[in-house]
Amino acid sequence: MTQTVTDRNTQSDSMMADYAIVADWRDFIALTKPGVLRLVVFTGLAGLLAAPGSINPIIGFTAILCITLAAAGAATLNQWYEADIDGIMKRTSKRPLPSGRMDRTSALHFGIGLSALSVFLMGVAVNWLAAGILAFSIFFYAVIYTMWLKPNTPHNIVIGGAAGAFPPVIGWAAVTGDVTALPIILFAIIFIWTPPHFWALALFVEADYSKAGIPMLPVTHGKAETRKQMLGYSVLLLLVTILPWPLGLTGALYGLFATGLSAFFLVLAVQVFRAKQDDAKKMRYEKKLFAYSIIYLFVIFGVLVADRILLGGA
Amino acid sequence: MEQKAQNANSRAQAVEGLAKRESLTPELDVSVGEGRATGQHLNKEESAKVLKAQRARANLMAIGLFCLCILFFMITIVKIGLWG
Repeated sequence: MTQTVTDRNTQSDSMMADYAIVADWRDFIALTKPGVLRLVVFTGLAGLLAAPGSINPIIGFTAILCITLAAAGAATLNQWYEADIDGIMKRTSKRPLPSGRMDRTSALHFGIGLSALSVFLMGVAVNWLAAGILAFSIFFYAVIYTMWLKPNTPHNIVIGGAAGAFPPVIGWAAVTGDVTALPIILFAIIFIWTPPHFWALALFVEADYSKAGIPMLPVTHGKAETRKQMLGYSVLLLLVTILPWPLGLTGALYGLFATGLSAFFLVLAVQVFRAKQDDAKKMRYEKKLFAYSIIYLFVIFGVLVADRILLGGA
Repeated sequence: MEQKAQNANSRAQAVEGLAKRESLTPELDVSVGEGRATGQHLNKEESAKVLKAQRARANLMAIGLFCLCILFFMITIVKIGLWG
């Protein structure tokens, strides 16, 4: 598989070299996956605000800026490496690299530059624990997930989900200089949320993944097995999300919201499990779960911050 | 099958575009990293487009570096204990 990807990279390089011209700055923005960045920045900010103690506003701003730059750098490196696969998939074929609006070397330099700057700035301005976790999260996403897990195993998104789960831990570490129980639970929430979120998407773009040769679970084990796994992870998500409440790390506000929102997540997962719909155009339950899962994470982290800060939930 | 046809089509369009460019009188020789094979010339319209994109990127880079300088200055102020 790796060999095939390398061959395709070489082919796409030579194809793009013919007609790519100076890339527009908007293409550089597109490389950073702004949609994904919003969630990363928000969860990082939530970790920072939920942490005990205070942080100077300038240092806090710098920490969030570093998380943003690191996520942007990792996303750029992901697009640099997957330019060939993106060209095959309908959903991603309009991105700057597969569409030939930018050359791959510029994207590589941009990605490495952003990543290096973010880690250096975090280390110098905030603390080196946060910088270390930040560097590991970039490495995990760009190398472990993108280059190794994604093209090789249907468990790609299960293990790879860890990459997106680091921001609240980094935000927390930026304030306190250590990592305790609550940031680990916040990590676990995003880690367990990722498979049902991503598999909901994979179910209705399964044909794309299949064409690109990416071994996503619906491609390798079928849609029925994927729906079953999504249900299992949704049950686990309910338990982990509520956990901070009985442990006394948050108050009742968070506990009640987490229970209600996670229960609804589970209801949608049950609907997906029972749907057994194979036509990608008609997968309304899967699309509904995918959309809800994004709102879910925003609200859970928002309520967590409100509980910890405004109401002194801890 | 459809993807192959699309690829072949875009490839043909690219080759056609290059053939047209080569037939034009060279106005400006701009070689852009790996994005363009060296030694190919741009017509007036393309030169203007390239320069516009370069100018926009240079301006943004300048703004970004300026903001970074301000940020470093403010971080220094905080670190030496003059604020907070």
